[in-house]
Amino acid sequence: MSLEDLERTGITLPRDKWGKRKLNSTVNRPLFLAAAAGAIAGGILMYWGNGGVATWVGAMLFLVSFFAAVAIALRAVAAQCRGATGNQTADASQRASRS
Amino acid sequence: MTQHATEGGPVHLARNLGLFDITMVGVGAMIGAGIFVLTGIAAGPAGPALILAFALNGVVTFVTAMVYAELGSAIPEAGGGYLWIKQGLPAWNGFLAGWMSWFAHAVAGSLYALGFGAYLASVLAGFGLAPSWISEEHLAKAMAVGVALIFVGINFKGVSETGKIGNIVTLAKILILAIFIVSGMAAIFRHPTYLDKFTPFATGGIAGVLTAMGLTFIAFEGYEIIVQAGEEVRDPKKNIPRAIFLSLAIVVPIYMLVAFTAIGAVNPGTNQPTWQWLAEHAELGLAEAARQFMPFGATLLLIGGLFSTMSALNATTFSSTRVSFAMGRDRNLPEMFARIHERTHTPYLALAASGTLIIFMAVAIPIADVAAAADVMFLLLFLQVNIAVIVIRKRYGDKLDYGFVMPFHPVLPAINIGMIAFLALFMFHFSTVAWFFVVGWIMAGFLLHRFYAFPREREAAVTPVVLHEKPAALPEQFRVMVPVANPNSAQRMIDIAARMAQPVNGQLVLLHIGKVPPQTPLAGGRRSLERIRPAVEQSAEVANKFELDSESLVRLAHEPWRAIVDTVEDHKIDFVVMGWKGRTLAPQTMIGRNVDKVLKYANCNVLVVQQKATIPARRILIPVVGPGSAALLVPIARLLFDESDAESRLTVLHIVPPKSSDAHRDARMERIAQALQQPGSFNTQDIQTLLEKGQIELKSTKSKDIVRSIATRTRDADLLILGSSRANWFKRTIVGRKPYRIARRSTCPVIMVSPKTLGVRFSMQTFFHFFREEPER
Repeated sequence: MSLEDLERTGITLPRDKWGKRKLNSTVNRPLFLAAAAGAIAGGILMYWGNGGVATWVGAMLFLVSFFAAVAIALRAVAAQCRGATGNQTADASQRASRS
Repeated sequence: MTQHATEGGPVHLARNLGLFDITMVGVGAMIGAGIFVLTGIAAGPAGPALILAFALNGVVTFVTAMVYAELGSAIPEAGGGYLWIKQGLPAWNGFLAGWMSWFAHAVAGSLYALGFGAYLASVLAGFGLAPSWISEEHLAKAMAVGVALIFVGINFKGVSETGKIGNIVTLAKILILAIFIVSGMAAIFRHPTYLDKFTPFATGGIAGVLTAMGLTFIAFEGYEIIVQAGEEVRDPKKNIPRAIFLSLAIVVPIYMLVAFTAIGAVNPGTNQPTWQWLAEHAELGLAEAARQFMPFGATLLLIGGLFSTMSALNATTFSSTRVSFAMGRDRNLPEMFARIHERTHTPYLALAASGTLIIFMAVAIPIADVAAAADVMFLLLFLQVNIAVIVIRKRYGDKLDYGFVMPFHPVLPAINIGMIAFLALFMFHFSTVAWFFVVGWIMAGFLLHRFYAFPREREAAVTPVVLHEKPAALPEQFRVMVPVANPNSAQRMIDIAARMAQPVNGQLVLLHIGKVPPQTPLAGGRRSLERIRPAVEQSAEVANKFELDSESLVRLAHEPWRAIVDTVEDHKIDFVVMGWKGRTLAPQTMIGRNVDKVLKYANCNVLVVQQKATIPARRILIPVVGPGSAALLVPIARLLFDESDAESRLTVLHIVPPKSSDAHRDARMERIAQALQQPGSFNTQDIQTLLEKGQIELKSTKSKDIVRSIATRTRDADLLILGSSRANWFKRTIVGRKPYRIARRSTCPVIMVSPKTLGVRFSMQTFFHFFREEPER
């Protein structure tokens, strides 16, 4: 399937919009990084805890971080479909955290 | 009546699936035989760290899921990963991805069918209902065949039926697992000492965790099925990424909790660790665990296993059918795979083929090793998808409408590629046989692509010839082609081409291109034929003056370079002579977009002639880097040389670094002189004569700045002939593409000669070009 095929099936944007939109992710990067760090830290704690308290703290941390990552991704889908840019979302989240 | 891919335009499926349906398809595919059958087996190598293995698989899967969400929302077509790899990577890669994906899903289906058979046989044996005339193993196989046939039938009936049954089955098994988890948790909290069973945690160390990850990875690939159904999802831009993330949010915690419960709530009654006890019970480990702490545990788990394997079988039948359907539609498999039934709107022949494959594998192939092979294939498939997302974003990112855009691109997919490759290679340590299967299947795919798919792909993609005028019978000849844009300006090119063909009684091929706007199908460009016809006749008249065999053809193309490359391949062209206005203003091009592309993708000698060049020329300057370039360039220069004037000179210039010794320089010049006199070139004899007459002079000079040195000497020349190597792209890119810099600074007209390269080397070059290619405008 070539670009022309994608165009004919209506998958691409209209030609006059090509190259005019900056492709930004609507994922809130600081929050996503925090969730990723939490998941990795959770994994390390699980291993390092050797079945003790740290293992369960790690498991909880992992699950919370995982759900957070999913929530961030779902929010990004909603923002993307509304047409918001990543910068707008990031700005909004920064404003929210300041207030 | 049946809709067909080639009848009445492209085939599309009905969009019936909402967010809930498509999430359940993903969850149903994931919570299948993987968790029910593999939990006990994977507990062996990992120990209690099975929980960690599930968590880490969740991380690897989440990153790939983001890739799937991005591409699934932007290109929601049946085929999913296969289609994106086809779009983002070279064509053979796309074929192989589909081939591997089809097999992997079908084998996963066989595994689930066999799992169902084993569970049902166990239930029947438990109630004393198993017939005595058949062994339990054969009964299980017979049940597997039966259930596979039932789900082929259900899938044939259509998507909405598939979705409803799938939803019920998926919800039922989530409920059973929920009861399992709650009962297990209650047992653990009644006996707090049960938590001691988790120490030591990673009994097999990191290697054990990795082995368990590889073993259970198949239980995480279900989200792929969400995008396989992309063409049938309502509001796919939004629903596909949401369904992918939601299904992971449901499945990963369930897996971790099931592992926690299975290890924590069981009391083996001896000093044996629980994980060892589970490993001993292997595929029935979970059911045996449930028997201990759950009311009607074994029965419920067996029923859950039956539901799970059924819904996973349903989902994999669905996905393997969609992949083979998409491959049929793209002519990678016979086109009958793309036929859709008029009443049910399902790809019934693709379904029949997938069903046959599922049943065959379930009955005939040792399922454990092939299931591991399916695992490796899924990993390799995901690896390619992660590469494809980088390429697609680079090439088409600004042209697609995304519902989700992954962050930290391309770092995140690059990290994921590393993780997946590591896991796939680690599986070799777990099952060498699986890798043999994988390599065997891939090799079979290569052969199928080479001898079946590639010729059809090319046939479908090649720019069509709409007019072909040629002599009745043409022998195998030396062929020189001139792409004719304007008959008047092409006269010089035809003259040069004829000079090249005449000494060997070769043939002229005149290519006219009907340029068709990108949004118009090529077939719609036939109307331009009448407009081109006068030019065809005019250039044919010019060619006839040279008394050579000549051939004229008209091709329709969206981009002229594609027509030229196709003709080079079809007509086995030896030389292409192309015009060049002199300078390019287009950004990111060396000479011009079409010439650049021909140089990249046409594996023949290419002569790029500056249009102001006057032929024949009296004073020709030929800078050479060594004997090889001299042997290529001087015979060509000889054809364009005006020897009628005794003062005419053909100067072969060799520039050596200032530090070179005189002896070294003399040795080089000697080798260049020898190369010119060696037989084999198509006009060696003429060159010998010119050497004797002193009309060819060999000069050498020492200089640090080659570009300036040559450019200065062009003041005393009528024509500069330069060699442009295509072989060393690194040098051309990094060092600065000297021939192009010389051509731009030359004060006399320039002809650039780009030689044909060896087949394998050329394939490597086109492979690299593919990834370096700039987005098309």
